[in-house]
Amino acid sequence: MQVAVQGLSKAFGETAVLHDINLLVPEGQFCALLGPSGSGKTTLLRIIAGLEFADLGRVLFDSTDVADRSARDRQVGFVFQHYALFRHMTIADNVAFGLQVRERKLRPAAPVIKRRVAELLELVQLADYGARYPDQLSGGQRQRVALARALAIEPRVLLLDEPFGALDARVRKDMRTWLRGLQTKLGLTSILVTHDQDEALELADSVAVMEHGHIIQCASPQAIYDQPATPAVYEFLGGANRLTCRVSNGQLFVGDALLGSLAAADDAAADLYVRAHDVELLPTAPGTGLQGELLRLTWGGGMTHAQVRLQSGDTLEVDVPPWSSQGHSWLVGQAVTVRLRRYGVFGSLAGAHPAAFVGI
Amino acid sequence: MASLAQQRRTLPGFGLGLGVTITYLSLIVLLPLATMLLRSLGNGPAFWWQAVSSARVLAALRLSFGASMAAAAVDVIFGLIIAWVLVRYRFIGRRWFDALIDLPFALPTAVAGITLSALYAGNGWLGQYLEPWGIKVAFTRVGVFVALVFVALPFIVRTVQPVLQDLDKECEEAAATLGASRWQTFRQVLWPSLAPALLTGFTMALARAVGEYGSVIFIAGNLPRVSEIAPLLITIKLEQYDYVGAAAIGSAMLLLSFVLLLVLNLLQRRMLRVQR
Amino acid sequence: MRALLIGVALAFIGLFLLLPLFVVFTEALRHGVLPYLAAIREPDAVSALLLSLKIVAIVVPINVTFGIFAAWTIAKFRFPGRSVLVSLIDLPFAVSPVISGLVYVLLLGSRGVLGPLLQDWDIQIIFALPGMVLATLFVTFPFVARELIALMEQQGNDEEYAARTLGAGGLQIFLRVTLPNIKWALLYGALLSAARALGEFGAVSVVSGHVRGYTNTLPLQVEILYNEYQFQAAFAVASLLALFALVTLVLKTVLEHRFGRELKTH
Repeated sequence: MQVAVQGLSKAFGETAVLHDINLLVPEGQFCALLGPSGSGKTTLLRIIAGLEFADLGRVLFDSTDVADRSARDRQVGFVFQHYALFRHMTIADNVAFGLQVRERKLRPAAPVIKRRVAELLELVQLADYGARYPDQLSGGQRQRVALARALAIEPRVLLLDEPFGALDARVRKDMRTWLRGLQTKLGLTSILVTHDQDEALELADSVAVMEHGHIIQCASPQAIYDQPATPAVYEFLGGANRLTCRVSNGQLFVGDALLGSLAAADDAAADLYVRAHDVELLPTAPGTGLQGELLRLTWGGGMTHAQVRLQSGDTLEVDVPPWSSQGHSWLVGQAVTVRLRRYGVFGSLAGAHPAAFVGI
Repeated sequence: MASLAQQRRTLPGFGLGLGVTITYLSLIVLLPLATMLLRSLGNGPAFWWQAVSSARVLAALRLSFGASMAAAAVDVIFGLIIAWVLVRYRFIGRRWFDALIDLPFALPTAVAGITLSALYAGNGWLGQYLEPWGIKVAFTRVGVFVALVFVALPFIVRTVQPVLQDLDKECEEAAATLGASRWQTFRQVLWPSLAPALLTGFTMALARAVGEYGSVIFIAGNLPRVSEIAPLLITIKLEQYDYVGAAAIGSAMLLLSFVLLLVLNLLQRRMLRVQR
Repeated sequence: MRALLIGVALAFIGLFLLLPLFVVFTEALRHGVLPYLAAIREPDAVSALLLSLKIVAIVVPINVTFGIFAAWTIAKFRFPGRSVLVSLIDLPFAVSPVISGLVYVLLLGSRGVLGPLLQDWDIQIIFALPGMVLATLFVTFPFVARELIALMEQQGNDEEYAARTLGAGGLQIFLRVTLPNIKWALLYGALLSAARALGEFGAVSVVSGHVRGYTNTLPLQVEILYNEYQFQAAFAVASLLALFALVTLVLKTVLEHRFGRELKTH
């Protein structure tokens, strides 16, 4: 089933939490809503589920407007951040709940329910845990029970609210891979809320980055990463440096150093964003990049992290891969040249639209 | 904007629940209370003032509020000690003593009343030892105070106890490692968390003590203008079919309690704000 | 320091709580077992006991019902005026029991606002069982609602929301999800309101009219006997109430332990 959100707005009292949201998740796709806390992503998910109601706009399941339907009638599988398992019921009863509360004429017979529960527990690899209670399970296991319970009602869409937020790092990684496999297998349209960019980029077919109640960019993970639409996206995805630059007569300057030419002609100050691993650190080589001084070196596993003070006064974080030094050993205090391999320039005036992407 | 009832809710039952709650509350609590307030002014404000400002009523109100404050204050001190001992120390029978704290909640006030007067009467269990020293408890204001100390104790202990339980022991230990004396630790680490709870307990104890009737009337002796409490005066007026007079005292008590609770609440809010 | 504090605390508890409890039973048995038994088998005492139990039997189910409605409304929803409603529910705690009785006399008594109307229809409320029930309801209303609100707010709404997305209806959510999570707190609130209903003195005294063998509850019977200088009999009846109080304390401790577990969410 396809999920579409059109012109959705929502305020809690005076505070607006969602502004004119438009989102399309095609049948069978996995969409991630990514953003910092308070960006409105959970509210959006809950509106899609029918747990909150929008002030304006539509939520379409295929072509049906479900805005008037309660959560009860939407047939969505919702996985809560803290699982929300019924703590006084066994795992099997938890999973069976959605089937048992159906009207009598729609309710499957007891043996059918039992079989279905067994299948689902098998699916989430908890076949032997049916008789236990939620508080006897680990976090990852509870998460899988919550998923089985949501799947029991044969939902038309699966909604996941920070499903791995409460798990420790290793379990999280395993669950991620497992969930993506399951979603592909079931072909179920899914929407995931997360504040973890790795999770979003790795899991989803499309990522919608949210901030202050707006979707600021919605694209494939690759596009989001390679061509962030705004400085905020750059910063949110992590590892980005910001340099002040200047555009003058179609030329781009950082400090006095000319970086390249730029289609945007207007004379204005601008911000340049560049990720630490998109910067190349070289022994000093006049005329080929930005000049600076090596301030600090820290060894961080695979990468060496360098901090460079540019002549313009900005400091720049640089990731130096172990193979790049070509036998050269870096010394703190030495003069260096940096070359920006891939960066984005954003005019500080005209909103958040990128003026240019430069890639090598 | 959609009206309150039409507004969409995630869970069902809001309209029904709110309707039932407000209706019930209105019928059982609000309507009768409103009747009293209206009735108290039935013969005009001047009459109300006259009824309330008679020497006997004033004395009764003064006693009710004064003895309640004194009793609540004493309970703050001993309640804090008891809560501290119950939370921090382990000793034989602790659980029993802990359970016993609620006795004043559970024991009907009339039972408490006759028991206290049997204890403190001139020939009573304790009274016979106090009398020779010139300490008269039963049938005096002291008796009122003693009864209210009994009644109000659980309010203090039960509000302070959970706060003490939640206090992070590591904070105290940190203070100790930083060289604070025990008194400094108490004053600067514990007290800021305890004070608001004590004030809440004091407020609840006071509200309860001001209205207390059963446990007081047996021990007080009920001498007009000396040891007669305000609630008793209400029943006396009622027996004389002076409904307006009774309503006037009742409304005065409510008014005074309300002002007192308001002041204490504001004080507490300030306290919590200062902490932040 | 430790010994001193424990000493002070136990001395205070002993003097103000333990000693009175001891006195009740000693005074009741002062003249031996037979007079004690005679006093509690006395017809007025028996009818007082029955009336008290009757009031409890009426009041507690009403409190449970309305407590659940109030708690559901307040804990599950956000709406303007919510905090006012919470304070109103607690209001009876801040009102003297005597006033709780008084307000009903003023409203429903023969000289009350609705008095003439009730007289025309020949309905007796004040100085009769209905009045005593009403006054007790006033006094005991907050107990159940309060316990439930506190617990339900702590537990949050996630389980109910989950049940909703799984297709459960309102009653199904309440019976299958909410009720099992709050059952001990509900019992606890019911116990507190039962204890208070059984022992309520001031409010009931004002509306009862003290009709012996007809509108006397156990606490009122204690007062009457005491005022007639039948001290031993008064304490004998009082000892029954004290016994109920002790049972209450034991049950309370057990229940607190139980719903302490309900409080431990997730």
